[in-house]
Amino acid sequence: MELFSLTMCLMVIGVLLNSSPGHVQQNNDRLAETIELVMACQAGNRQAFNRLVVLYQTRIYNLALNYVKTPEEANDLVQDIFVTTYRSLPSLREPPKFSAWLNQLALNHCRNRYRKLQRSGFFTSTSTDDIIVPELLSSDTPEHNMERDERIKMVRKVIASMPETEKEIIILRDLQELSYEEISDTLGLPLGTVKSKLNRARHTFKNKIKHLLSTP
Amino acid sequence: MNCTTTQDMFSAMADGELNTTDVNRFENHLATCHHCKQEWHFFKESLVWLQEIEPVAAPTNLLPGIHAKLERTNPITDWLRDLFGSPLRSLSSLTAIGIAIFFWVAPQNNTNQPIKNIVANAGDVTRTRSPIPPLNTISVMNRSSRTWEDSSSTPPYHLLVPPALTPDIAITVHSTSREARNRLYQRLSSQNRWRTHPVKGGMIIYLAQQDLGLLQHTLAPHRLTLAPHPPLLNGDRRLQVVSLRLEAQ
Repeated sequence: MELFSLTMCLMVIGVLLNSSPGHVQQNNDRLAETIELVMACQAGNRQAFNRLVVLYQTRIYNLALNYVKTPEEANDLVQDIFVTTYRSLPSLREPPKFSAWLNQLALNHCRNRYRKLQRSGFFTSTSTDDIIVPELLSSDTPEHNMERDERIKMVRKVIASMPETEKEIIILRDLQELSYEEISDTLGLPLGTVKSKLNRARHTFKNKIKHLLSTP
Repeated sequence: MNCTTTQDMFSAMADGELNTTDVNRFENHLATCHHCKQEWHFFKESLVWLQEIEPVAAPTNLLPGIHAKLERTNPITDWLRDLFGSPLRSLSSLTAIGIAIFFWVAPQNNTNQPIKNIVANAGDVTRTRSPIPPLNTISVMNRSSRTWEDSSSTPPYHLLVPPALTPDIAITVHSTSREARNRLYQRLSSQNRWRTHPVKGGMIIYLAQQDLGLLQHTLAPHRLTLAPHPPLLNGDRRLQVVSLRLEAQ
């Protein structure tokens, strides 16, 4: 018990020491808030759960959107993910690891839904060209937006065509902006493997983009 | 350094993960190899495109949708829906469900009994209809002084979680008396088989069914009231909840 408390403290101190001011301070605040919310939620506090949803909904929604393509399907998937989160939270023993735990849970849901939709022929009737990209968080001029939307559509198409493991690591690192350590925790892979897989995935992505640009 | 080694470093170079020596080796190779230089250019460009994808705002009806699902469904219906998603699996699923229901229902009936017993036998127990305040603020047990710190600004890192514990019962203990709370907590903390969550105004004890007898023994010197409480952790069907109010002695 003492050892566990000590480990928890060391983990938090470790995170604090590895930090520089600015956005890392923001991460520490977020970690502290998450721990507090997770524990309150484990004690049955629904308000704490609502706050957790608000904190993590954008990340999980964007993850889902990369798997199921349409906003309606992504919305339904994210709702299922958070329902499972609420029900499984009592089994989470280390609140500081909530983020990685949630990512893992979300990834499993995404994989299952993707396979289910694939079996039902959803993706053959929904082309990746038809992906409806909802309103972006930032706004820009219409011309620039059109150009960027085209590029984003192409990038999403390329990501969708990548092998599952490579797609996952690209999404986690470059779209979700997780650190190597967080990816390692989420996928249960050693740090070295994460780095080499990421390099391979990014090369695949680059080659596919190159191929698309070179074909008329 | 050859082309393969250099291209293996692309990702680390882009993320600023290389040390000064490797950066120098990397740049020296690019200076002499046109192919790698071009590949590195494409690599960086494709990363810019990738990272250009901005996060999309989550829909506004997400939270109400989650709550609607929490109210409407339970894990078993979700599980049934998933199982029957594929018609080919229906027959084997039905068999599996039959077996699962048999094994699920049997222990459920048995688990109610020990809880009733523990409430009846623990200390001086009376019943009340008065509601228990919601547990919505975390407080911290100071491990050295063994006192409660009600400040919600300090994250409670002193959570007591023994390894490899599979609790199936949650006992919530409420008390307005800090002294009574501390006394009980001191007794509980001698048990490393249970998980005790300190919360403002009380504590939650997670324990396995086989430890109910031991908990009964621990609670015996305390005066307790069995009180109504909204379902706690009702999402987890395996966890039964008993709510107790600890009276000042």
